[in-house]
Amino acid sequence: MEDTKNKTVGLTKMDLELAILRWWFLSHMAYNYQRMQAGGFAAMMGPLLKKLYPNNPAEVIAGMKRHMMFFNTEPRWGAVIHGIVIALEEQKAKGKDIDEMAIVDLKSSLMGPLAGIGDTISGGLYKPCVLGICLGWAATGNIMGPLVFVICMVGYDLLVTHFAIRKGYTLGTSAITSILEGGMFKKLTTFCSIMGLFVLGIMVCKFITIDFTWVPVLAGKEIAVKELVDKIVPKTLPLMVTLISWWALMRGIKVIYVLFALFVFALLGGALGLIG
Amino acid sequence: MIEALMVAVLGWLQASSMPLAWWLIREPIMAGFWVGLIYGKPVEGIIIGAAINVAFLGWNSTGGANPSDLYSAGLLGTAIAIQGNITTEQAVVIAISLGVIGNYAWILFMSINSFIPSLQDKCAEQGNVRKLVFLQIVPSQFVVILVRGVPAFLAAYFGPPIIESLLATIPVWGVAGFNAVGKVLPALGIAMLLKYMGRKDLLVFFGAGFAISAFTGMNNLLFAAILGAAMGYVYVALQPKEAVAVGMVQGTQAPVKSKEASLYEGEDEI
Repeated sequence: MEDTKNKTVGLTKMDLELAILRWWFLSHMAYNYQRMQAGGFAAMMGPLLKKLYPNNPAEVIAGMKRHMMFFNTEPRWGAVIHGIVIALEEQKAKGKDIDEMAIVDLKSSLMGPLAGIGDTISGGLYKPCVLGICLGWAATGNIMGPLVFVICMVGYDLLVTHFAIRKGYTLGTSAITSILEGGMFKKLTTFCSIMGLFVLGIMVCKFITIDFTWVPVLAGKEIAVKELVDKIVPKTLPLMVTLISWWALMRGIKVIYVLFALFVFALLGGALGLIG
Repeated sequence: MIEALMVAVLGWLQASSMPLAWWLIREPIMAGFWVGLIYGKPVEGIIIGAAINVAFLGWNSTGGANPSDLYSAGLLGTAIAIQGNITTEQAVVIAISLGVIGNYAWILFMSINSFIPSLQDKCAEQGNVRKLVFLQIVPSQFVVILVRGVPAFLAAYFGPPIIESLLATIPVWGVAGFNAVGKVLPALGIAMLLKYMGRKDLLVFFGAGFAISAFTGMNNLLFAAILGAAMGYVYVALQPKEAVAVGMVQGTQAPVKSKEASLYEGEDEI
């Protein structure tokens, strides 16, 4: 019994590549409130466990159970965890004394911080920048819009997931923590924020097309408010609407209320002929 | 009928929750393109999709905080707008209103799927990897067809006449108000994004971007991104070294630095 137990197989490069693809495709397919991405994680680990313990179904079952526990992170940058876990599981199968609780703890302690980093970079910075450029093209009916968007997003998605799992696998826990604590992510997010904010400033002018249409009659003279405002700062109304919405969101007012307020404001303003 | 069925298939595929579906169909800019193709007006589809997409710039996939559902807004909004005589601004208003209802589809999806991990637990106990992977992929597809595909068909087939007759009953001043709403709502998407990336010490770059565009009329976003990347690079490069090295192990400083350099070169090209 002892003999067959110790007969383990290491993972090949191919195994890792297939695991990356499994995670990439399956992470969210059964996304749910009960355990979020747990099924995706277990689906990625399952075949690896079978490979690692060819003659030991009990270990496969134990492994699948520990990877069916609650898991949720940003699927691209967070995949660093998957790389580390695969490396740990491989070491464990080769007979190293690794506590199974240590693996579970590692997953739950890293998934939060990595979700924070990943969501900021992917959802808050990279995607809006790509979208901003592509929407500019698409708004004029240019096919480049959708085309470049797909290439940029699928490419980013695949490359980052791939990079994250491989780095996690080869570098292990210590290297990841040193990267997290180092200045790299701070620099990266600062850089992206600057680029994003600058583009956002231009988007205010490009995409928010609301302007004054009010022409009040003062002392028998028609005064076009738009022309008046344009002489001082053009596009004041789009900027004001954006800044007030932003201020409301920062004050913790729910998005749905801000949406409703904007709706009412514009509906009334438009109906009265003040803006349009 | 066939067109509406194809929209229903899009509704299923866009929410099948895999990366290719996210990027190929989920975003309104993409949904608009496909719907446009189905109805033989791809250019209009892209334009309407893009307009809807602006309002969703700050949409994040973590869920919960989104006022309107990205999936249904993009797909159903374009499907209805492209069939009728509806302006782009009106399409944005219709899309966002549909998205508010569409949020429930997401909640339903996540709730019904919550049965799946319990079934997967049983596979784990039996060591049945294949069945676990099967459960990860297949059952949720039926959920998606139910909560996304069927509503998409109904909206694409019955939606346009209903929406058009509704629009026909609105008086002229109401239409003006409606159009103004469509022109204002993109501000919400931008404001949400601003909340996300708006660090106080960096807000000056937002102001600079606005001022340049407002006064010169420059609105080429690719040019803006290149300019923004250059400013970001200079800003980060000029920061004092001490601030960067905080918390970093002395010995690892050199290799980490070289990695940063290569990362920025990559970003510059965007």
